[in-house]
This record gives sequence, C-alpha cells and structure tokens, in this order.
Amino acid sequence: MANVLKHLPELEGMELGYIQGILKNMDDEQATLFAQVYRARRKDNQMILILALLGFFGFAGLHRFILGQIGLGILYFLTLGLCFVGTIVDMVNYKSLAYEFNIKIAHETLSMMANNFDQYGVKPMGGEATPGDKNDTISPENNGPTV
Amino acid sequence: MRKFPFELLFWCAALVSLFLLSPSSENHYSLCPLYNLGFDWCPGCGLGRAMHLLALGEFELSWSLHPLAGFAWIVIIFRIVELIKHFKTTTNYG
Repeated sequence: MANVLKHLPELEGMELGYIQGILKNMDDEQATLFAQVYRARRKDNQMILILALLGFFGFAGLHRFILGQIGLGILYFLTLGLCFVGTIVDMVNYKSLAYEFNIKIAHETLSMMANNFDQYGVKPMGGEATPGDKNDTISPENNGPTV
Repeated sequence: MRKFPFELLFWCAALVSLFLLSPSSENHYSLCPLYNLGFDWCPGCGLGRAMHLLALGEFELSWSLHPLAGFAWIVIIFRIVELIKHFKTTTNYG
C-alpha cells in the first residue's frame, strides 16, 4: 500500500482522495512509476486559472485548448469567451476543469502501466503474479469505471 | 459531500433558456458584461439570438446574426454529454 502524500505531495482536495484510491492497490515501486508519469502529464489548476484570466485581454479559451476541448476553445476564442460570460464561469470553475482532466490522465497512466509493465522492468503487482493477474489488479476497472 | 456539477448546470440552463426565451424582444435585459460596460460591439454579439433563431429553424437570419450558432450548439451539447459521463464516473467511485 503506497501513500499518496509520499509520492505526490502536491495534490490537494478531491484529486488527492481519488489518487489515493488508485495508489492503495500498488506497492512503492509501482507508485513511484505512476507518480512520475502522472506528475509529468497532469495540469496544475493554477495554470488553468491564469489561462482563463487571459480571456479578459482578448485571448479567451486557451485553457480549453490546453485541456483538450478544441471545439470549445475555438468557440471561446472567436467570441471573446462568449462575451466574457464563459470566461467568468471558468474562473469560478477552474478547479473542476483541472480535476476532470487529471482524472482522465490518471486512468490513461494506469492503462499504460498495465500494458507496458515488462518494458519498464517493474515487477507485476503482487510479486509472482501471472500476466492475467497483473491486469486484474491495476486495470482502471478496479478503481472505478473507466472514463 | 459530492462536488456540485456547476459547469454542467450552467450549460444546461444556458441552452434551455436560449430555446425558451426570446432574446430579440424589445425590453430584454442584457447579461453581457461588455454591453453593460458601454461597449457597442464584441466578437460574440448576436450569438445568443442566432442560436435561438437556429433552434426555431430560421437558418438565414441566424447566419446573418452570427455564423457560429450551429457550431456552438454542437460543441456545447457535446460538452454536456462529456460532463455527464465524467460526473457518473466519479460519483460511483468507491
């Protein structure tokens, strides 16, 4: 059982709880690998807030592009953040936006680890588990439904 | 306590009110912060009216007010579906 505070101390709130739920099925070595990949890919909610604030200076929707919502990004950019209304909504909402993105990234990281365990030279979950077992133990389905 | 799905409710309320209300009526109160600050025009001007008209099927008038109305409908509905999926995933998490 790995502790989220040891591997990813920068998380807070709901994200902390969610990642702890994922890490509790891992040993320390796996948690270190997960933390490295996840930390490299996740988005900080402060960055989302700052990019959303750029909407007041004419560059609306950059945070939507960064979060992979290309359609809404284009809509925001061309309409000045829906005439500032969308920008103000996202200023209130920036933590949920980042949380949603990060949960998606966590599930992606999990399935990547389940597929490429041998490449990374990390032993499968539970010591001498069979390939079937390792998928069972760390696939996202065990940590809630996939996104 | 579960997190309140703020963005989901915002988009749903926006679409429902665009469909039901008529933004073109005379004494309509404008929500737009830029308009209330005294600016006459911004790149999103007319988008609400255009989306309303598009929902009623008046394509040409809608296009002349704002060409992005159809795009906005599609993108926002897609986003609502995505938000519902995300909400269901995280609320059922043990």
